[in-house]
Amino acid sequence: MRQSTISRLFGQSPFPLLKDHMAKVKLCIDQVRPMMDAFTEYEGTREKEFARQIMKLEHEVDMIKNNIRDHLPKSIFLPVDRRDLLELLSAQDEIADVCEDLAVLVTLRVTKVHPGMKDDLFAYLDKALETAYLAVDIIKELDAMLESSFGGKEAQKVIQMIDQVSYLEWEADKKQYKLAQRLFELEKEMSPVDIMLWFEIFKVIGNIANAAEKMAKRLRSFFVSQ
Amino acid sequence: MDPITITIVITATVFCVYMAWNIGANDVANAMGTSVGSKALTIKGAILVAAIFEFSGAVFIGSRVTDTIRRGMVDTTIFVGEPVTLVYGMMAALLAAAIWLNIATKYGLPVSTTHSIVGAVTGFGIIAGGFGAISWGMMAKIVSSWAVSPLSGGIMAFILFNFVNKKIINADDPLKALTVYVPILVFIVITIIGIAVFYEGLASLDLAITFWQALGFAGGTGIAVSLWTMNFINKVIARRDPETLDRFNFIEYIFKYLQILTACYVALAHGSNDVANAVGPYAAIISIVQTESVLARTAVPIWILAMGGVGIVVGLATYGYKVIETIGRKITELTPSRGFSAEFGAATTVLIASKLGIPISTTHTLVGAVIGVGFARGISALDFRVVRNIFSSWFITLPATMIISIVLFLIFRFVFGAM
Repeated sequence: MRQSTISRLFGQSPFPLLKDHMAKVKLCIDQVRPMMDAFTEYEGTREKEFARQIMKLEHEVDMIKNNIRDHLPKSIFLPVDRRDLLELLSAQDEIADVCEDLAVLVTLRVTKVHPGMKDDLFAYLDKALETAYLAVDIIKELDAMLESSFGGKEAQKVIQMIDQVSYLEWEADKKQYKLAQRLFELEKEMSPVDIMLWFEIFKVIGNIANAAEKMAKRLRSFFVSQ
Repeated sequence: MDPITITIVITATVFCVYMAWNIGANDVANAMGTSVGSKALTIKGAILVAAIFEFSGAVFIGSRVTDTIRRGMVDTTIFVGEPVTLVYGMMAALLAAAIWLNIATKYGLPVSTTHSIVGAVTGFGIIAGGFGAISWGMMAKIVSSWAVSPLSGGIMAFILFNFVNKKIINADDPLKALTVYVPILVFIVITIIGIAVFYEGLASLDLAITFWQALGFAGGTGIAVSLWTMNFINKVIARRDPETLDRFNFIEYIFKYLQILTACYVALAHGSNDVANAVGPYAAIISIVQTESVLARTAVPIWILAMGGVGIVVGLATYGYKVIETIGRKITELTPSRGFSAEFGAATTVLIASKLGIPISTTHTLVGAVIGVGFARGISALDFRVVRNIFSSWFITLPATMIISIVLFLIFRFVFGAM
């Protein structure tokens, strides 16, 4: 079969793969809440199932990331700066990485949760996850962004979503502060090692929201880089 | 006619049809492929549109570029004393271009049929008549147009896509924008096609009409189709529920119809420009054989243009559809609004070049136009390796076809001269 000049002009688009990547990241995020439920219900076994699941998914996320990087030769011309695209990819990847960090922490040691901090803990976790899910939703808009050439109403809509992610991250920060205060109020009723581990967990949960915010900020450069 | 002349005519006819077949098999596929890729046309639809409009373009508008290849590049008056030399030369040029096309496509070089024939005619011209036989002014014009035409197609497509993007796709009320701007775009396309067909086209049928009459016909048709379009869009909008309407899908749905129009436009422009690559040298041969002299001015007989047109359509039907199929599968990221902009930019450039009698590459112009849309952030991934290859093909095609043509010319002169 003779090669056609026109068909060879069209390279493989990395954007569908970027969406596949984020879809896998979302599966990682999906495991976090049930994992923490299991962890705080003090079973000591079931959270390991979820943690293993996250580690497996994180590996698959990595594979997609490498695949995108390998199939993006310098000769490919994209509607966005390729550096911006690769940074967005790394930022998406980091969300899955942080989920894995949390999975590692909860499998380290069976740690008691003080009933007095449970409500604040889950309020904080849910806010961090809400931030991450909004980042997932933004990537679902990629097709519409491409169709509108990263302009017009669609751009405004996505920029609003990006701002909303930053706002949610800030709210998560506030909840973390409140939760940390609560933890130290209860310090006399808890073992020092439990406190140490919980404090570490809080930080990693915060990192989920931070990674989501970082990803959203990376996407913003798609709109201004023209 | 003596047996040698008959042999020459038959051989030349075979070369001409083979060249036309080549154009139909590859170039047409490149020209129509974007319409199939964006799913504006099915493969069958693309073949039908191409057959009708390639043929019309070849027969009704094709004569200008044919004349340039026949007479404009090589000073034919040099051969008045020995017209057979010009016959051997043109035969060599036809075969050389066809052979080079086969070699180059085998190695995946994005060569152009136009560039090949220009190189081949030049090659024999230099060896048979010396450097003075080449009209270097025309050559400079032709070669510079190879850089200018993709650029021009690109700029036009860039501007048009930015317009479509701002005024329709990203409009606050895209449905209203569709009813306002799409009829205007339809009017522009129909009027340009109309002028091209009516003005010079009917002249070749001895129905001479003035430019203003042509403009009147074309504009009238344009307004009529444009009003019909407005009515059509309004009806389609009325049938849909605005609440559940996916605006981007709907815009692309409307642009599918627009792209069918530009697909016709591309086929027409391509036929008018590229038929010359096959029939230009052939027309020169026939004219010499019939009159036994090198005439300074003769019109290209319409049957020769028609023969070229038929050759192109046969090439498309026997092989080109396979290439179109490949292209359609490969181009999945091109939507009708992008395809429309690229095809309009490319076809307008090609048509203008045709009218000026300058042979340019339709495929390379279309590549330029698609890149123009890409620069307007309209396409998710373009592979620029093709651009590098196009540049290198420019520098290889001319010397390669010149050498092949010179060798074939010497062989033909030896073989037929000894008969």
